[in-house]
Amino acid sequence: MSEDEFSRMFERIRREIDRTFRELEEIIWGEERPMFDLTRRCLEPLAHVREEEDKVIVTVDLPYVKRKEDISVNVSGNSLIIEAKMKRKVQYSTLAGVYRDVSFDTYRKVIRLPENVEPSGAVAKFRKGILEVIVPKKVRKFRVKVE
Amino acid sequence: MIEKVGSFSIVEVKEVKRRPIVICGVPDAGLVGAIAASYLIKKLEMEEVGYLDSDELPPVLVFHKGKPAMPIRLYEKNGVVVIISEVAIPLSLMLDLAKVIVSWAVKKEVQRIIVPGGVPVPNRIEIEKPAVVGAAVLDEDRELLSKLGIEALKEGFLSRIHALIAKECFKRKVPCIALLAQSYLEYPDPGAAAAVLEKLGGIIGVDIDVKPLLEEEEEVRLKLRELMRKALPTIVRQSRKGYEYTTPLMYA
Repeated sequence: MSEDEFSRMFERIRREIDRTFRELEEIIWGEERPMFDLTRRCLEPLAHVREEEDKVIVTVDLPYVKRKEDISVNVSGNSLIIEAKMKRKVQYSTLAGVYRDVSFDTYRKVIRLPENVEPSGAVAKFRKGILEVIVPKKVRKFRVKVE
Repeated sequence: MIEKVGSFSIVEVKEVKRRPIVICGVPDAGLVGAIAASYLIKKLEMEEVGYLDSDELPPVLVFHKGKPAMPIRLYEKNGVVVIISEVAIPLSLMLDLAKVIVSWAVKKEVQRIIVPGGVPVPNRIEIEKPAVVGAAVLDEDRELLSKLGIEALKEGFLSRIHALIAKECFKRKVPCIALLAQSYLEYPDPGAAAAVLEKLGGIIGVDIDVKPLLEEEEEVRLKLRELMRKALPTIVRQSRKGYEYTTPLMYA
């Protein structure tokens, strides 16, 4: 195994462990999970996933993000990784009153997509502080003859 | 005065004057009602006069400016009472909440109950200024809406906390208007709250400048993420019945 292959495999395992922990967190904490990550120094934005017949529409609320250039949307396996930079730092003491010296200027959200999508066909737009990512579904359509 | 229904009680710390207009701001779609109520309290510099409590509410105590406060509180100024909840109300408590508010309001000889809120619309992002409709319970409420030029809901269903309060009012012949703006379902929507407040101002006879609210829109959206997330499961469970988008029977 070459060094490159080993790095890729290592990276894949790391992502898989990350994903498993996030899913466990989701199960254990549910709505009680804090919406910030002290390790990565980022806030978790509100996000919503809606499924339609031929596509999955993901929207993410990103207050204080001004430009589309400050947003990155990456696909890893069946997950969307959304990161965005805010135009100003947010001091968490004013939000929660406990983490006095912690400030954030980035959002990060990993959204697991359904199995039947084609992430490579995803398109995104950013309007009025809301990011919308449309991911097409692998739709196999055929007409049934009515007799 | 203490009013109790089921597990809920309303406690007046300072006596609320008779014949108030009562405004209920409970976390719901886009947190529209809660944002509107909170802005009104700040804007009118209202005084805290009481609280609502239930053993079944989440075990939290709120702190503001270093002082503890109950999560659901009553504020009053010049004959207007605002009820605001800073916690998501569990689905199982919604009916008792509606009943205790209306029961207390009846004893206070309430002039009218107003329930500001949002009606989620999928194309909210396309809408610059959300439309507001009023669902009026009594004839006098419909007359008021007409006088103020507020569009009245003619056909359709009211749902969630607005429906519970309006239904109690209907049964007890209490004047009540649910003021509903087009809103996001899952994101805090200060724009919709501003649209509701402009109409609400007409009903309570106060000119409400919503410009500061619109200027602080991003801060509101950022700060209310956690409350929105906590309130959403109840809202979604109540919305799943989808009655807001249902046409009622034609000949009933």
